[in-house]
Amino acid sequence: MEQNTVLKGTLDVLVLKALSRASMHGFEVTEWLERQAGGTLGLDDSAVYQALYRMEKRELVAAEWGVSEKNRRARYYELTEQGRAHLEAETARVLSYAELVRRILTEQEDPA
Amino acid sequence: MKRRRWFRLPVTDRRLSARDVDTELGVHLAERVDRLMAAGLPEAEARAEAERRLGGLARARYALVREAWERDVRLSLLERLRGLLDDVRYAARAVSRERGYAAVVIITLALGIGANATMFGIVDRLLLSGPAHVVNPDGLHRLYVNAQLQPEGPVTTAAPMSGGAFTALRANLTSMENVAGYVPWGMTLGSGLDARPLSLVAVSASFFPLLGVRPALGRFFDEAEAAPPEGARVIVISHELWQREFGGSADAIGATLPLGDHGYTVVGVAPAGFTGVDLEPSDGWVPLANQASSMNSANWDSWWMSSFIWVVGRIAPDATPERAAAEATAIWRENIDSRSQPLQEATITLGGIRGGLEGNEPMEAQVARWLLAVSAIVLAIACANVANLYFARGLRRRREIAVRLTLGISRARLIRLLLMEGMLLAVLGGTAALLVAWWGAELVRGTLLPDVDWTTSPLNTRVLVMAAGVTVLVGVLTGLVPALQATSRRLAPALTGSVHAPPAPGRTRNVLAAMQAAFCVLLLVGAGLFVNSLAAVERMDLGVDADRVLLAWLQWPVGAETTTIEQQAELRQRQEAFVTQAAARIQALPGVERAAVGLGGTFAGSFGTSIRVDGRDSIPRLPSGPYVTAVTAGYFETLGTPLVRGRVFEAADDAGAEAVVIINRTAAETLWPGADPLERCVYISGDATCNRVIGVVGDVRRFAIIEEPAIQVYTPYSRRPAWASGAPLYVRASLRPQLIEQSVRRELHSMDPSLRFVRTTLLADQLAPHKRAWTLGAMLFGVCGLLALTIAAIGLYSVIAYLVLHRRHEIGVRVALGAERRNVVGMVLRQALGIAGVGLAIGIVAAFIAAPWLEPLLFDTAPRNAPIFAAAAATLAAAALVAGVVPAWRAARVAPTEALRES
Repeated sequence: MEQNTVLKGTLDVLVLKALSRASMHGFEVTEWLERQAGGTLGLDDSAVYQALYRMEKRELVAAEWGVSEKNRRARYYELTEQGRAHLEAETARVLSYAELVRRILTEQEDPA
Repeated sequence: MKRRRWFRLPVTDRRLSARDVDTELGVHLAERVDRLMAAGLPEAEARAEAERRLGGLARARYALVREAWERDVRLSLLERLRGLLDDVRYAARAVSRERGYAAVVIITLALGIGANATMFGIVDRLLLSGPAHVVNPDGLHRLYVNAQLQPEGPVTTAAPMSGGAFTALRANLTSMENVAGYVPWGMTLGSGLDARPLSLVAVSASFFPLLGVRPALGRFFDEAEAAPPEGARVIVISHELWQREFGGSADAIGATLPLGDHGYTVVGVAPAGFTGVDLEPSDGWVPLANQASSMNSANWDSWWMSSFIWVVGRIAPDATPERAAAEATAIWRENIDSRSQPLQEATITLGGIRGGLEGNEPMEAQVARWLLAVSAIVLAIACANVANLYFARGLRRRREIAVRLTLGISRARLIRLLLMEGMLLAVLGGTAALLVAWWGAELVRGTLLPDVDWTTSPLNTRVLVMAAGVTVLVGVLTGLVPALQATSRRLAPALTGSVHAPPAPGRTRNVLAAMQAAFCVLLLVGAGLFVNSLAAVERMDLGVDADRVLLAWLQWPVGAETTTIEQQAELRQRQEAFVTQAAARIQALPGVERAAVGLGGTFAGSFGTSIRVDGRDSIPRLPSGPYVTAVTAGYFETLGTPLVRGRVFEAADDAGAEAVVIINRTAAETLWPGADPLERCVYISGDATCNRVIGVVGDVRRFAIIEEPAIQVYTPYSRRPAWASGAPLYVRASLRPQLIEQSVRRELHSMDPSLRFVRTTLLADQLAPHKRAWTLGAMLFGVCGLLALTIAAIGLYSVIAYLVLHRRHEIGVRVALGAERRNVVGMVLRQALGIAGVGLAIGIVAAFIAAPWLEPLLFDTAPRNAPIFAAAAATLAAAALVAGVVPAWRAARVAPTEALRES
C-alpha cells in the first residue's frame, strides 16, 4: 500500500480534530477521517489506534468503555482540556507549515 | 472512574492491556466488515480486506498491545501519584485545623527522634563507623603483650611494646599484611611566651599505607626518612594545623616548623578529620625514630628494655587472627633479648582497635551504648504519647469518620488518609528533630566528650538516614494503629450520639499511659544510679584539693652536642636549683596562695623505687609501688594533702644535714601496722642512709581516680634521686588558676631568659577525663529521664482531661445531688494516680531486674538501690499528681445546670 507519510506526521492533530466534534470509538474516528479525506487515508487503520493510545498516554484524550449503536462494547475517546489546547496549538502550527510548503512549491518568480 | 483503578489495576499486568486491545480491534473489524458487506463484498473477502486495511491483524495487534501497555502503566502510576498528593493535601488540611494538637505531636516527636539521632551520632562515632579515612577498620588489630609479671599474680595485658619487639614483628610477621607502630608525643611549637604545646604522634612509615589514608596535600614520609636511629626531621601536619598555621596555603609544603629542639620540614598535610587509629585529634605525625631516639636510646630498634610503642597490623587475606597471634608469639619468644622470665614467656594477643591500653573497650563507649538504648526508650514513650493523642483525636473525629463512611468512602482509603496524617506529622516532627539533634550533638561533643575528634558534621548521612528511618517507622506506628481502631468500631452510636458526651475511653489509652510511666521509672532509676556514682566520684578523697592548682613545666634548650657530660650535669643542677628559687618568687605573686616543687608528684609521673625498713626482711607486696617523690616545703599545703601525724617539711629540712622522710597512710599501715611510724627508719633504693620518718600524710592518687593504694615516700627536694629531673612547679591560686597562668609564665621567663618555654596545665583538667564516663551517664540519663517524665506527664494529662470531658455529665449530676467539690477532685486524682501507680509498679520491677546490668559502669553505688528507687517513684508520683491537678480542678468547677443542659 502506498503510504502517505505527510499525513502520518499530522495524524495526531487530525484525530484530535475528529474528537473535538464528539466522543467517538476508534472505528468512528477512522471513518470520519476517511470521509473528510474523500477516500482512504493511505494509512494502516492501526495507525489511528496507535495515535489514540499515544495521546491517551499523554493525557490529550481520555477513554471510557461504552456501547456502540450496534450494541457492541466499544472504547470511546474524548478530548481532555489539555487535548483541546494541544489541538489549537497544533492546528496553527500545521497550517502555517502547510502554507509555507505551498508557497514554496507553487513559487512565482519575484519580478524584482 | 479514576479512583477505581487504584486497587483494581495492577500496574504491570500486560494481559489486561491485551484484552482491551482485542475488544477494540474486534469492534473495529466488525464495523469494517459490516461496511464492506453493505458495499457488496462477500463475508470472507470483506473480512480479509478489513484485516488488510488494518495492516495485518497479527502485526497490528502486536504493536498496539505494546503501546496500550505502556499507556496503562503510565496512567496508573500518574493516578497513584495524584492520589498520594490528594491524600497529603487532605492530611495537611486536617492537621492545620487542629494546630494545638499538631504542635504537641510535633514537639513530642522532635524530642523523641532528636534524642535518638543525637545518641546515634555519638555511638556511631565511638563504636560503629571507626576512625575517619581508615580503609576497612575491622581488618585492623592491636597487638597486646600478656605476661604474668609476678609469680601467682594475675596475667597483665598491655599494649606498649619495646622497639626490639616492634622491629622483630615488623620484619617477620607473615600473617599480617602490614604492621605499624605509633606513640603519642607532646611537643612544643616555637619558644618563649608564644610557645604552644602540640599533640603529635610519632609513627612508623608503614602507618599511613596500613590505614589506607591519602594525603590532602604533599606526601607522607617514607621508610628512608623514618629509618633508625634518628630518622629525618619531617612532619605531616593535620588539616587543622595547616589551616591554623598556614591559612591552608600550598606554601606549607617545604616550610620549617620549630618543634622542640629541631626544625621540622613539612612534607604533607593529612586529610581533614584524620586521627590515626584512635579518635583523639592530633596536630601532626613525625617519624617514630625521632621520638624513640630522643626519649629512649639511640639503638631503640633493637632494645627490649623500655615498652612504649603501640603496635597495629592488618591481617593478611589468607590468615586468621588466631594464626597471626600464634605467629607473633613465636616471633616474640624467638627474638626477645631480656632477662625477665615473665617477658620471655609472654604471649601476644590481638584486639580490636577500639581497645585501649589494656585492651578494654573505653567506659565512655559502654555508657554510650546504654544511652542508645535509653534514647530508644524515650522514643517509645514519645510514640506512645503520640498514639495516645491520636486515639483521643480519632475518638473526637468518630462522627466525621462515620459520616464519611456513610457517604461511601472506602475503609481502605480512610485508613490511608489517617495514615497519611500520621506520616505528615512524623515528617514535620522528624524535621524539627534534626534541629534538636544538632543542638544536642553540639552539647555532648563540646562538654562531655571533648577528647574525640568531631570534625565531621553532627548531621552526617548515616545520622540522617537513621533519623529518616525512625521517622517513617514512627509515622506508620502512630498512624496505623489508631486508624485501624477508628474505623473498626461500630458506627451507629457515633452517628446518633451526643456531641458533648464523647464515647467512653478505651482501655488502650490507659495501657499506653501506664507503659509510659513504667519506662519513665526505668530511666529515672538509671539517671539516679549515674548521678549517685558521679556524686560518689566527686566526694571521693583524692588526697588533693585539685580545683585551684596549676602545674608549670619548665623547658630549657638541650645543650649543644659539644658540651661534656660534666658540663651537662652542671647545667642540669643549675636548672633544678632555679626551680626552687622560682617557687619562692611565684609564691610572692598576687593571686598565688602557695607554690612548691614536686618531682614525681600527683598526676605528673611517678618514680618507682625499692625500700627497706628495720625489722622486716621484705615489705608486703602491693599491686604497684613503692613510689618516691621529692618535694620542697609547702608541697602538701599547695596540693591540699592532709597531714595525718607528725609534721610536714620545712625549709630547714631541704638544707639540713639530717635525712628525713614523710610517708603516706598506706605506707604507715603496711610497714608498721598498729604501731607508731614516727621516728622510724626507711632505707630507699638500696641506700644505707636512715631516713627518719617525721610525718604521715593522706594517700594521694598518682595516675587515675580509681587505683590501688600504694606505698609512697616523700623526701626533701634536695635528696631527690640523682637520675630524675624535670620537676614541675605546683601553684595554688587564691581564685581561679586560669587567672594566674599568664603572670606565672611571664615571671618565669623574666627570671631566666634562656628558658625555651613554660607549659602550664590545670590539675583539674587532668582529673576531668577520669570522671567523664560518669558525667556522661549522669547528664544524658538525667536529660533523657526528664524528657521522658515531661512527655509522659503530658500523656497522662491528656488521658485524664479526656476522661473528665467524658464524665462531665455524670460529674454534673453528682454535684447536683450534693457531692462535694473535694470529692470530685479526689475522684479525678485517684484516677490519675491509679494509672501512674500501675506503671510505677511495672517500672520498679523492670528496674529491679535490669539495674544489675548497669553495675560495671557504676561507682560505689549498689544497682538495686532502695533510696534511688524510692526517689524515682516519688518523682513519677509527683508528676502524675501535677498532670492530674488541672483536669481535677476543671472537673470540680463543672456547674451542674450547665452539664445537665448540654445533654
